[in-house]
Amino acid sequence: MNTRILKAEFDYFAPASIGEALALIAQNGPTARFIAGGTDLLVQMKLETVAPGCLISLMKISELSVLKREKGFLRIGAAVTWDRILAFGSEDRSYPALDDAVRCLGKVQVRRMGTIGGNLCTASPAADSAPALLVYDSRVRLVSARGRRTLLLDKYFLGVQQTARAADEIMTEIRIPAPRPDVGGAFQKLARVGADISKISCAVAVERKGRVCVSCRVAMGAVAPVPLMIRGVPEFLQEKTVTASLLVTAGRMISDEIRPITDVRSTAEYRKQVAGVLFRDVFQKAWTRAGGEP
Amino acid sequence: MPEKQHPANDHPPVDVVGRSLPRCDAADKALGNTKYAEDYFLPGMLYGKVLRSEHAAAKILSIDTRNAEKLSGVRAVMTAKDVPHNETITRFGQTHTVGGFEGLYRILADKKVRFMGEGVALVAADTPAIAEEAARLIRVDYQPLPGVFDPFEALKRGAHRVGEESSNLVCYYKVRQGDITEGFAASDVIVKNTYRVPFQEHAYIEPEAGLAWIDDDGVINIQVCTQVIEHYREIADVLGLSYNKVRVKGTWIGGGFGGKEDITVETYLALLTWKTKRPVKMAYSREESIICHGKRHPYIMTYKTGATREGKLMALEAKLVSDAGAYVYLSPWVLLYSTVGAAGPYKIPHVKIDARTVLTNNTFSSAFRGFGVPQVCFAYESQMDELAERLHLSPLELRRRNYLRKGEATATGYVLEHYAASPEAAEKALEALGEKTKSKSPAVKIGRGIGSSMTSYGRMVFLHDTSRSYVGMELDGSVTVRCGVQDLGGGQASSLAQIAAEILGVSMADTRVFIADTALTPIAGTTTATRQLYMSGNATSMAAKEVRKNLLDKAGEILGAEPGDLDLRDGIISVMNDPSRSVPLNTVVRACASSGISLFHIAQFNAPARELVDFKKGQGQVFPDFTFGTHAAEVAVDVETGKIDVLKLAACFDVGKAINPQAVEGQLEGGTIQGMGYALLEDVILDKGITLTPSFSEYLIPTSLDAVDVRCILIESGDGIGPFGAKGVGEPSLVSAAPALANAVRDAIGAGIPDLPLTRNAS
Ligand SMILES: Cc1cc2nc3c(=O)[nH]c(=O)nc-3n(C[C@H](O)[C@H](O)[C@H](O)COP(=O)(O)OP(=O)(O)OC[C@H]3O[C@@H](n4cnc5c(N)ncnc54)[C@H](O)[C@@H]3O)c2cc1C
Repeated sequence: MNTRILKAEFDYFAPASIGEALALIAQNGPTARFIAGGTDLLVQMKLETVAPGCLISLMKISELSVLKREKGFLRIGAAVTWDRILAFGSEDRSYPALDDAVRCLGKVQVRRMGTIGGNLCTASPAADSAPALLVYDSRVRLVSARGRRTLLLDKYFLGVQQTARAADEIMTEIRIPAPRPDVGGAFQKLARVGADISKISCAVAVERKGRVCVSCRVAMGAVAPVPLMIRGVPEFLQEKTVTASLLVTAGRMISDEIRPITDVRSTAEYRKQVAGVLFRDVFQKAWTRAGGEP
Repeated sequence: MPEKQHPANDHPPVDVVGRSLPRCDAADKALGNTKYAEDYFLPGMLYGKVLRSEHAAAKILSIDTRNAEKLSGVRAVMTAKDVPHNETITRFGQTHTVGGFEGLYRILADKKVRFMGEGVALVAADTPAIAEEAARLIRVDYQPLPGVFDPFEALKRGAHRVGEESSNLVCYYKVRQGDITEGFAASDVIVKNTYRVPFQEHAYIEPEAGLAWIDDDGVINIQVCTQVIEHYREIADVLGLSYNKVRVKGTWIGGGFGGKEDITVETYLALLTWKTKRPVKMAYSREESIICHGKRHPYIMTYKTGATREGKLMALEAKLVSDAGAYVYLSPWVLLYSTVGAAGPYKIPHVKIDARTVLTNNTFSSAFRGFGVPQVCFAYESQMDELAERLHLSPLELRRRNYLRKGEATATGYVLEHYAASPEAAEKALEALGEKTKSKSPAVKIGRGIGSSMTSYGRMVFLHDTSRSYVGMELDGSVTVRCGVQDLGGGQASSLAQIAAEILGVSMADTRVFIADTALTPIAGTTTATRQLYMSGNATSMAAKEVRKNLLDKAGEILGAEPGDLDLRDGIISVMNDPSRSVPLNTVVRACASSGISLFHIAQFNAPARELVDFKKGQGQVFPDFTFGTHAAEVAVDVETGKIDVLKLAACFDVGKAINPQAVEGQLEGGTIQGMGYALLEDVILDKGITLTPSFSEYLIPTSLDAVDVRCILIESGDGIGPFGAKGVGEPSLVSAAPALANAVRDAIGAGIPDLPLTRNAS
């Protein structure tokens, strides 16, 4: 292995339409891969964990770069880069959890090249957009020669870097339902340095009525094989008056629910311990935002 | 040789020295024009590749290179049997040979591999990809051995023997001063702790690289990023060539920090070019670099420190064990620095130090900025803060009562001959933190700490270190300096320009420095040990003064004045009391040239030379002088997550004289941030000798996003032994940063953490 060279020999195409892209993936056999920003794929190619014989870039397909609000939801094309989502988020404050996530995702180079679709297709347990998109109940749209389908993101992640997407399916866009008016959201990650993959991350979306939590959604990253929707806590908090001690209990429930592993970035023990603390911080931020404060 | 070895400050620095002038290498670097080792190409060049061991400890049963040799585009495959002299002895006194420090190492592994990443075979091929493929096709049959990965395990009887010697113990040094039993008996408070510090990776921006070729005269040329061009002799030894048949040319270096002090690519390149007769280039990938080059030594340090109720240090006992890794390299030297530095900048009547370094099957350890001193500094400074707490004294006050001053003896019995700035530096560093930050949350605790150090500059005096420099006046009045200095990016070359320009009364722009060529520049020794400004700065200053003398003599003749009454600046020589009587420098230069007066000089500067200290008792002079300074830090610790935010950092050092204040600040900032990485996150993780952190995705260093503004305060005592009274600052700038941060964390959370990185148990 030599990360200074790309060992694999490959063909490269940059089709302008989905039809063309699907035809190319069909023609070029099982080692053909889609590529968007390449910030995940090129690393894997240099490490020789993948060796595609053909790369099909999705960056010239206009349908994949939509970014707009429609009635009831926001559409983000799979090939939209973090830069664009960041710019969008500073004008439109409807999805603060997503905005928080993008702000701490990668740095200049990665934001300019990396895409939201690439993040979800790599499907790392630490993918920073995933918890935020999960708490907003997002859906992903996929297309292949067999047709189009829409999946709940919650049903999309299957295992470490494994998803419901077939190898010849293109992710076209992510659709995020417009949140109800009293919903606040937040995301935070713990990392070792300013530019780093998450040791652990957490997103919360909470609907608030005065001091009562009407409903909430919680998701965490890097605590399980997949970006994880937390089940117990939302039920526990529903229709309760939020107090500091309630959140301590909820945090403890989260620490108990998750089954993280030990790797070079962190230990299982630390992840478990800190999950509850992180949840409290993120919940607090989302809660404040739900109350109309920044 | 001139008699006087410490050039006195007889030239009042006014014009060039002491100013933050742009370094001579700055513009090209800012514009991306500077060429680094990897940026050179030659027609027809091949690409070299090293096949490295995947095992940390194994017997090599056989190596089959046939398939690799058959691959089209492969021009050479070499193994140990193809290397004329595969075993070399690392020896360090270029000018003076001292015994007891030799370590064997092999160019390529033979019969046995001792660490993961050890070179086993070499390939040269037409493209990097072919070289890569050829290396993959080499079949090495290994028989894995159990290996040993912990220095204490390695010291046990019956432990796996890493090398061929009967024991894994590389060396054992002792310091004995006073009577330790008496010292502890007289102490009212005693603190004892065991500290552990990890491997640290240099993480220079430029991985190892070079290009070699054979020139028209049959000389092997190697252009390489190295801190030591003088390895040309060892390379010649490996090939069995005479020393004038190997030429090493150093390039501008993208960081060294000690990691390019040992030989890296150069012997491999020499072998491949010698075998193929073609130019060969080699550049390590980041992973390869991290896996194969030496690291900062991990240490396990047990410290016992005693003080009286009044806060007077009475006794210090330290047991140091360091992990040398798989080959000796510089481990004995590093250990010696630790041994001498183990008691810190403090006056302690009773001292007992036992220091050992031990072979294991881990990646070898070697030089890293600070060279064995950051480890002990972390330990002794942690001890100081615990003592201060127990004695109800402020950390600053306890230190103040114990700092060594000029004229007092260190633990190794050396009486400090120069100003020791510790008290002043500590006060100023702490003061620079300004008002204490207020916490915004009950879970976030704010803390402050200081760390003081005493770090040598210049090599050990028993090495009889020397440097040489050429200074010449060109006929147009511009100045040429030739000096074999290697420039790591610290401004080593530029400082020499600044010194020569000052002495010869010309501008920096009119001064040109040619560096780092064993064939053409006078040999200046290693760019290590914080020695270049001191050594080559002195040599350059001496040479420039000789040229200046000739110029002033001639000008005196022309102006009818005493040379001593003349002033030389801005290209004009004038009579000091009557500036209307003057002559342009150009005119004087031409007058010298036509009357046969020499316009150049090569000077050799000899560091003070002493004999080897006996390290059964460890009493005597080991270093020429020390740099004193203190780091101060303010941190915010989230006690619920363990997250440490560094809020403020300050560094105050007595630099003697800042030849270029901005360059000095650059060193202080860089060293401090590198020390911050050591304190908070850096950790090369090895699992039974296998590197688990081979890239910057796992091995994290602080980036610009993490660096805080370092408040730099320069004390200029003028009492250094470098040019213009300068001291060295390259390594000292790192040494005390980690303990300052550790003590700040202690202050915040009310308990000391005895391990680095401090976040090891909170991540
Ligand atoms: C230095 C660095 C820092 C990083 N920091 C972070 C971080 O902080 N947080 C984080 O979450 N990630 C981080 N990453 C990972 C990476 O940048 C992100 O996951 C990024 O969003 C990937 O997008 P991309 O467009 O570059 O994907 P690519 O590398 O182009 O593709 C990734 C995978 O998805 C497939 N793919 C891409 N788009 C589609 C599509 N539309 N349809 C079907 N398949 C597709 C590709 O075939 C490939 O398998 C970092 C990476 C680097 C190198």
